[in-house]
Amino acid sequence: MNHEDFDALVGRYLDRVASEDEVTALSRRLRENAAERQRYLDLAQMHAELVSGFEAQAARAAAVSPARPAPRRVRHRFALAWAAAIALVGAVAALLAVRRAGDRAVAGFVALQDCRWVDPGVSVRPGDPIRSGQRLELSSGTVELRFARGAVATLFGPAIFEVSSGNEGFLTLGQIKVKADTPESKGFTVRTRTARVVDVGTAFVAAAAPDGQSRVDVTEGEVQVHVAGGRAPHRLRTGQALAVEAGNAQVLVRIEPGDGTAAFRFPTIEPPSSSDFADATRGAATIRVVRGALRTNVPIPSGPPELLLDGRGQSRPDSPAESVFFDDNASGALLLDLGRSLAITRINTYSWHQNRDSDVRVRAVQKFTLYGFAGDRAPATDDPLTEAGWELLARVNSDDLFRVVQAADRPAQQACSISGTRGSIGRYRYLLWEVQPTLGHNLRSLNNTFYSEIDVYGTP
Amino acid sequence: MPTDAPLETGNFVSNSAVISRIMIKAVMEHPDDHERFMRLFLQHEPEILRNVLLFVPQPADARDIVQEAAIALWKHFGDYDPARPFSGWAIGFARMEVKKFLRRAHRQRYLDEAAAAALMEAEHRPAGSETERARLLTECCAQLPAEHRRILESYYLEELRVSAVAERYGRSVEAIYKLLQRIRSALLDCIDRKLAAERS
Repeated sequence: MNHEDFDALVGRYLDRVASEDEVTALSRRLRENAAERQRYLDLAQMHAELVSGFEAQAARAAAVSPARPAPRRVRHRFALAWAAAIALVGAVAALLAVRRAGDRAVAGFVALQDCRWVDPGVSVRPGDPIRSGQRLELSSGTVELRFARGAVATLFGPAIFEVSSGNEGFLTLGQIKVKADTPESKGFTVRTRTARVVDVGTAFVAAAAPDGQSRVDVTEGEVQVHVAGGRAPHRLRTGQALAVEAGNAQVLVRIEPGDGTAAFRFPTIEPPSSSDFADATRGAATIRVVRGALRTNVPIPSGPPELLLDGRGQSRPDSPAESVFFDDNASGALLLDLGRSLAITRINTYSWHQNRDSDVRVRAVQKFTLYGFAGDRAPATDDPLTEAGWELLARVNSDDLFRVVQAADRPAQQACSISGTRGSIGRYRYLLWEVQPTLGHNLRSLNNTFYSEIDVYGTP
Repeated sequence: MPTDAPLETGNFVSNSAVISRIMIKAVMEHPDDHERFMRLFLQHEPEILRNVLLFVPQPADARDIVQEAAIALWKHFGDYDPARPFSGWAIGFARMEVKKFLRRAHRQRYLDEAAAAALMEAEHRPAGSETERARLLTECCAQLPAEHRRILESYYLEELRVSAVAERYGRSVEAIYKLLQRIRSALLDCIDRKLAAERS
């Protein structure tokens, strides 16, 4: 066997595709040949460093938010034992499944707090059973449920939730927090109109808006999100969040915490780039403020909007001169002209802000509504935008997606990636960001986000 | 209707549950030592994991072994001599767990115990320090073509199987595993080259 064949054999072993005969042959060669032992160890070392390096990258990303534990895969490695084996089963199929369901008890009420039901005639007490197919319509208050296979869920009113089975439910409206940390409850599933969320770790929060937007964020462990029409499930780990917009061109919003360095590394979203279509070096894209004004007050004025097209993020956590931000308490709009219409596959925005002496990261929050237009002349940018011809693409509020309760929950460095669940978002020449101020923790807090880069990927 | 299915057996799950219970009991009985132990263990865990991966390349199995090793290390922590490096001491235990695992898992397409023992006896010291290699690996990964980087991330970060990576990128399983092999070789050469350049 020559050197190349031996490398291939080792590769097959490292990638777990070697047959029993091949493993036996490899074992024999390693017992007998010292040089091949060294070569094996070199290649295996590289494999080990890659496993370890990517694990460290994921841990660093989660560690940005100290309120949440880093993704210790040892802790939730059950998650990795589950595969994405399912094609999408849409909302219609799920509803049919509910209707077909029988009347056996598959869950029970554990606790009820300040509950008001849509139907005033409903009366339930802790300990009452919930049957498969039973629909809970809650006007206000919270209800804690325990499913037959061990998952515990808290439903926050107003909400409509149907218990489909001992390990599954359908959320039509509202918000549900799930903890599925027993071996039997692995695979607990929440369906919404636009997504199916499968728990493969321990805890997540899912929300469904009346207009069909679904959101999920992982508080511990890992989930898989299957989106209608999407090819592969999206895996989310601790601290990651994702929103799915309803509509013809389904749009997926992914928000991730960064590693808190100038390298802007994120678990799956690429760092700021100069090789995208919204970059000054490509010559075609321009950006300007079309509503509101960037902050000009000294000593902390905003940088010019062109910074968003320079291919770089900020070099440090609190760098106004390298950031683009609007006046305090004011919203504004940025218009990006790509110079020609493109089939857009991905739009990334990046922000970074951490006060030197406190946990305030209110200027890291990404809070905007994104619109697109394909024609050669941009429509008016005054309200209402959709009547002027703008198409609503996505609504982003990273605080919602990260379920920020206190300042330390909020990642200081954030990336938002907007993509199409079927590949392309659509064909657009103009993109318009309506940027909103974020919530200050007190009245003196400056509250417009420090954006540093916008990247647009696609094909001409 | 397709269904989700666990790929691993119930034994895997219950084994981990037992380990967790043992750890909790041990911690309750010796809270002070535990803090010192956990600090040392967490500091050296990546190195221990890398060492286990040399013999058991499947990350989930390797992490399982590391957790078993943690139990053994904790049980023997009273014997640990702080004058000696913790990593060497811990890797010794981890290797015992590797051998135990290979004895049990021989039929699951893993190296036999004798081959692993021969590898363990081989003098293998990767060039450069751990920190240097990690830095250079990042640099070398950044130099890969974009699609190769994405494939590497799908495989190592998302931990997709080769077949799932192949499906995602519209390539054959054979092509993906050959590509992974080429990427690893290229990274190995890249790190060696950079190390040599930095030292010349």
